[in-house]
Amino acid sequence: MDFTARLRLLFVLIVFASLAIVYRLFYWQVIASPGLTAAAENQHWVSFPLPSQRGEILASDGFPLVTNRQAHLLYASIPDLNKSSAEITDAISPILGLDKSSTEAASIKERLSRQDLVWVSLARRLSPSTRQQLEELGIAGLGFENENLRGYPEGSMAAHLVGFVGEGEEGPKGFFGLEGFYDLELRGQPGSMKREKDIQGSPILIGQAIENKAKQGRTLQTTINRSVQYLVEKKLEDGLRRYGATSGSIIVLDPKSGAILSAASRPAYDPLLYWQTDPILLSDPVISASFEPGSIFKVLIMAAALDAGVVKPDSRCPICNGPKQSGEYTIETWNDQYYPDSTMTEIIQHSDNVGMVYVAEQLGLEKLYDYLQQFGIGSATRVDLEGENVPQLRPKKDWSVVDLDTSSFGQGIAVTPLQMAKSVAAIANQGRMMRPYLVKQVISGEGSLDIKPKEEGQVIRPVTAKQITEMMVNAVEKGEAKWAKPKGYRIAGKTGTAQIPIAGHYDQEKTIASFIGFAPADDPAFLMLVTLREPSTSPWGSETAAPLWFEIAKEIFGLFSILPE
Amino acid sequence: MSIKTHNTVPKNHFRPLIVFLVILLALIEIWASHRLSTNGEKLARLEESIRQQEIHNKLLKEEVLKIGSLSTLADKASQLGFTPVTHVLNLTSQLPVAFKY
Repeated sequence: MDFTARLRLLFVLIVFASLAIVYRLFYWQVIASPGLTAAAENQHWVSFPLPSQRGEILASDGFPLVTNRQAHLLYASIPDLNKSSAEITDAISPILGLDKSSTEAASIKERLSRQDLVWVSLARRLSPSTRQQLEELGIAGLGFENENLRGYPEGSMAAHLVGFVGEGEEGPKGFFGLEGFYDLELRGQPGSMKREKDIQGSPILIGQAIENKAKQGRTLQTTINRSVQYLVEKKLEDGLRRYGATSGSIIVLDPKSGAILSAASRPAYDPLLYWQTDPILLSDPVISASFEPGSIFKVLIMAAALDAGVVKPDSRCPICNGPKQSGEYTIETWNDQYYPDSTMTEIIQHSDNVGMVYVAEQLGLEKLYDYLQQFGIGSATRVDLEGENVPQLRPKKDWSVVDLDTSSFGQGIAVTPLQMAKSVAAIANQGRMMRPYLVKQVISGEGSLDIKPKEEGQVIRPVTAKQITEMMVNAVEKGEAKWAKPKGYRIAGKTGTAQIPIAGHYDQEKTIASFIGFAPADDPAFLMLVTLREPSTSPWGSETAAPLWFEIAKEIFGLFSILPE
Repeated sequence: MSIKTHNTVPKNHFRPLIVFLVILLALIEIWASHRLSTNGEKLARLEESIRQQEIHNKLLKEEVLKIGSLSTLADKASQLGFTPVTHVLNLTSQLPVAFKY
C-alpha cells in the first residue's frame, strides 16, 4: 500500500472514529440524558417527606378527646424472607391476636406466598408493644412503617360528636361530627425536604437543601365539659338498662350562649374500630334522628300563643271539659281526665291535649306557622357538626285543621333532639335564640381564633319567656314527675310521651319518652333534653325520662356548684 | 514653554487586599469543607435520634393521657372507696358564731 492509500485509510478511520464519538455523545447527551440525569440526582440528592400532624380535639378543660398516636404497618419484603410462609404465619398470628386457622391468618399466608410481588402489607394499626414482640421473632424480610392514627384517651367518649378519621380518596379524611365538619382545619399539609448527600447517604452540611415546610393541622378547643359528658354517658347507659329502652339521647347545653356542654346517644360506637361498626350507628342521632316530640312541644305552642297575645297565663279554656272532635279524629287527653275551665298554666301542668288544641285554634295557622319557623322548626340548627338531617316543615298550604290541632301537642311534626333543645333554649334565654356550637377556639401555630356565640334573633319577648318559664316551673312542681324533682331547686321543665308513627298510623304500645328542662329557672346554667325510645318499664316520660333528667341534674348542680335556694 | 504632563490615573491600592481576601476565603472554604465533610453522618444520627425521641414522647403522652382519663380516675376512685355525692349540704342558712363579734 502506497503512502497516499494509507493516508486515505487513516482519514477514513478518523472520520469513522469521529462519527462514533459524535454518536456516543449524542446518545449520552440526548437519548440517555433523562436516565443519566435521574441517576446523577439519585447519587447526589436525597428526598424525603416531612410528615404533618392532624390537629387535636380538646375538651373545654384542654384535655384531648382526640389526639394522634403512633402505630405501625407490618410488611414483608418477599425476596428477603428466610422462612416459609407457613412458618411465618404461625409465628406472627398469635402476636397479631389471630387464630392460626382464621381467614385473616390464611390471608397473611397467601400474601406471603406471592412470588409476583416484592412488597406486601401484612397488618396495620399495630401498637408499639406489638411491633416489639414481632421484632423479637427476628424474622428476616419483615419490616415496619410508621403510621399516624387517631388516639382517644377517653375511649369512646363523645364518639358521635367527634366523628372519626377514615380513608378518603386523597388519604385520611374526617367523617361525621367535628372530624368531618372541620376536616380542612384539622388536616395538615405534609412538606418535603430535598438535599445533597455524600457517598454514604449522609447530608452534606455545606451542600444545597430545598425545604418545603410541613403545615401542622389546627387544634380545636370545644365546649364539651368532660365531667358532664362522662356523667351523661354513664347515666344514659344506666337509664336504658333501668327503663328497658332500645335507644336514647341526651343533650346538655348552655342556653345563654348555645354552647353544647354534652351530647350522647346510645347505642354508640368505638371510633378506634369504626370500620367494624354498623354504618347506621355512625351518624349522630342528636342531629340526624327525627322524631315526633309529643308533649314537650307544647311549651313552644304555648309560648307562641302568649307572645302573640291570644291567651294569658290565667286565660281559661272553654273546651277542656271533654274530648274534642277534629275532622274525623277525636282528640283526647293522655289519661282520659278532663279539667273544665283550666287556665293556660294548668293546661301545661296537666299536659292537656284538648287545652292545647284550644290554644292552637286561638293562635291560628298563620301565626303558629310563623312562630314555628322563628323557633327554627324545619330549619337546620347550623351546628358545627357534619351529618345534620333537617326534617322539613310541611308547606303552610298543605296544613289541614287536623294538622293545626295535632301539632299543638307535638304530633304530625318532626324535629331532631338538637332542634328541640335549641328552641326551648330560646325560652330559657329570655326569648333570644342562640346558634348551638361546639368549637370555641381554633388553635394553630400562628395563633388562635376565638369563636364567639352567635345570636339568631329574638323569637319571643322576654316577658313571654318569663311567663312560659313560670308555667314550666309549675309543671315540674305540680306535674306527674314532681316526685323525682330535687328539693330546693327551681326547675322549669316539661315531660313528653310521643307515639311512634309506623306505616300511616301510630304504634299503640311503643313510645318515645322525653323530658326537657332548664335550671335554675331564673338564671339557667344548663338546659337538658332526655329522650328514651321505647321504654318497656313504663311508656310515660314522667316515669322514665323525667327521673333520669332529675338524677343527672342533681349531679350537674354539684359539678357547677349550684346551691339550692 | 513646555507643558509637563503627569499620569493622573490613581493606583488601585485595594487590588492586593481583594486578592488577599479571595485567597483567604478560598482557604476558609477548603478548611470548612474539610472540617464538615464528616459531620453529615453526625447530623444524620442526630436527626434519627430526634425522630426516635419524638416517637417516644408521643408514646409517653399517650400513656399520661390514658392515666389522666376520667374513666381511669373513676375506677381508681372507686377502688379507693370514694363514692359519688348523693346530696348537697347547704351551710349558709345559719351564720357562723364568729360573725356575731
